[in-house]
Amino acid sequence: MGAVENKALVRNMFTELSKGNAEGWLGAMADDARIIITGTTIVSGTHSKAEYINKAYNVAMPQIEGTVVLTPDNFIAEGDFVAVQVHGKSTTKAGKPYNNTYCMVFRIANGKVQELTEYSDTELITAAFGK
Amino acid sequence: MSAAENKQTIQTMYVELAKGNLRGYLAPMADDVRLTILGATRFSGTFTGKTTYEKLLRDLTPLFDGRAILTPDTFIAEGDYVVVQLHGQSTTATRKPYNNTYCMVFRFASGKVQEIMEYLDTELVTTVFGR
Repeated sequence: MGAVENKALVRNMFTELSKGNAEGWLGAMADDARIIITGTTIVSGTHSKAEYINKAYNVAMPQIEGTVVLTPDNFIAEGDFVAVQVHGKSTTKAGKPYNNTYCMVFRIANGKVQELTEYSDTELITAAFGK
Repeated sequence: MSAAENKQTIQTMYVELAKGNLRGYLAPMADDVRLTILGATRFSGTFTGKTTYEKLLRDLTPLFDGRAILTPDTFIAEGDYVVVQLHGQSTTATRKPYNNTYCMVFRFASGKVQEIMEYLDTELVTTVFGR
């Protein structure tokens, strides 16, 4: 796939996620995808898809009131890579605003996301979710 | 300029930075370039102007033992944007390792870098440099 198709794939992932369709987000990832969340926070690390799902569902989401609304602001695609600048809006169960800013870099091959690196305000993650 | 030319410009900037040539790094930036450093760290915020950016970089120098080495790993260019994934390797003046991970998004306008967004492990910044 070219950069245009890759960008459409990633754009669609965000659309599905915004509808609450987690499978639409995860389904675009290869079974052996690597998800890297930068830093040393409670959700950081280089994760397999299963570990990523665990971090999302068992670590982050239980601390969030409702859902995290992720809004992609800008897509930049070249070759196998799609970078997305994203802002998030949510509230923790403790009532704290958790509005993070992200840059997510997707590497795509064979029509699937092989690698996702997520850069975000790690200090804010720890402030919201603890260590 | 095309995406390929923009990418070449950014690649050259990092080559100049690696040589310790701050002026060379800053040369392709517009006089009113806007830099945003993610988060709420002591270095975070939005700064306007090439001279402001130069002062910021010069103020950082004494915080390090020797030179901070920034290695660009990936360049992703499309339209007016160039995204760079980087890793840094350095030691602080107080002999602490400071190896951050960065994603930089450069926006070009009229052949100059007009806007820079810097994503980095903010928690590491505060751990190493304090508030």
